[in-house]
Amino acid sequence: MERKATDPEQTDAASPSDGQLVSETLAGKRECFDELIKRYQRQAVAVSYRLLGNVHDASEVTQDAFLKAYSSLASLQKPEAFGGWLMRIVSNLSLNYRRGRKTRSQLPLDDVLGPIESGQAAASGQSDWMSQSADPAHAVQSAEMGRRLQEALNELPEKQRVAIVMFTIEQMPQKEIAEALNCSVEAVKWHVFQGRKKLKEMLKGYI
Amino acid sequence: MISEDLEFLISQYVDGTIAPADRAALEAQLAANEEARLLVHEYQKLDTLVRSSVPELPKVDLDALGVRINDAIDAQEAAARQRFRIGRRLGAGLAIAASAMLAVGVWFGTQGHRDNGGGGGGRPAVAGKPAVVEIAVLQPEELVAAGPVVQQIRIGPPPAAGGRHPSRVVSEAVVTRPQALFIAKAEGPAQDTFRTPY
Repeated sequence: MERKATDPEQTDAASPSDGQLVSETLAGKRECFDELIKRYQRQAVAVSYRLLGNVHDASEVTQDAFLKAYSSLASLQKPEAFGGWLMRIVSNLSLNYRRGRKTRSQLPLDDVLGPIESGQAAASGQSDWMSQSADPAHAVQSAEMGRRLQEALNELPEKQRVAIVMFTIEQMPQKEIAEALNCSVEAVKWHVFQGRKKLKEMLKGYI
Repeated sequence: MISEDLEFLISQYVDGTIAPADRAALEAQLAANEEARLLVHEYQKLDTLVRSSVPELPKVDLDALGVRINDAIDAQEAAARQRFRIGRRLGAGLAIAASAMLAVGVWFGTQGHRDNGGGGGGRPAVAGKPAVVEIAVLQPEELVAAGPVVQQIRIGPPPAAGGRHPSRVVSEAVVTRPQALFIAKAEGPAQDTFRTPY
């Protein structure tokens, strides 16, 4: 199975590696950190969105994560592992945010599901996935499946949820996920396996 | 009944992350075990279901997000520079006050020796007793503000009527403590160039 290539060395041999960009940033070249922002902000928003279910919160968390990464850049022991390290910051901030939100109010599933009415979808501007299906029956069924999937993901332990989001949904390389979870690649495989096993049980009526 | 070890291998096989050494052995098992083959299909269907059911990522203006991130970094760095500048100026003022207080203490110490019969400039060593050494502490030079004064800090109680300090004046030779400290904003270098008495 092909994984998304987040390492620039796999995409373009001429562009500097993450390690080089980190070193140059620490040497005072701020534009090098801009390049790192461009490379990883989409993935950061995506991972945070899958964990929080709210694109506004995901954008806030992404901003905080890059700010924190810039402040702590000198502490990064392996500059070439910047991507995984950043995803660790993103997932930790997202999970902390989620825990704080849980104590305040119900988790908002609306942003994950998207509004049922197309008018609401246009007004919110947050999700247009519902408009992809012209069949109302299919749309309702898809909404139900999406809701059930999000509920099942929410029931997983944190590390399994993060592993499934990063590996199965965002298709990140396991090495990068290992950096994000601060564990070995074998441990990532185990978390994916355990998460998948639980999901299979919870979604057995849909498989 | 499939063991958890076998199920773990199947999970890695579905992901394409199984070690080459394990792949051949697993494929041999799959060929002979229908239940294991069914589990492979179930995991593949689960992955397809998850990826097809998860909503598309909503549209995010990544350019605007990048600008906000850079603005936040700029703001953080500016705040850090401001904190450093204020801390350095306050530190210089406190150093002046501290050196003045030390000078007072040294003077009182030397006065005590003189009152006990010691001569000016110190007493020569007496057999069995160490020599008394006078330490002259120069008054710290007054810093001239390079820019407009942005902050004035008063040290100690306000001067009494007539401008005379309310504290007990021992001698005109006592190094006086500044009553006020002026912090001026300047375009000076980041490095501290202030010479302390020490």
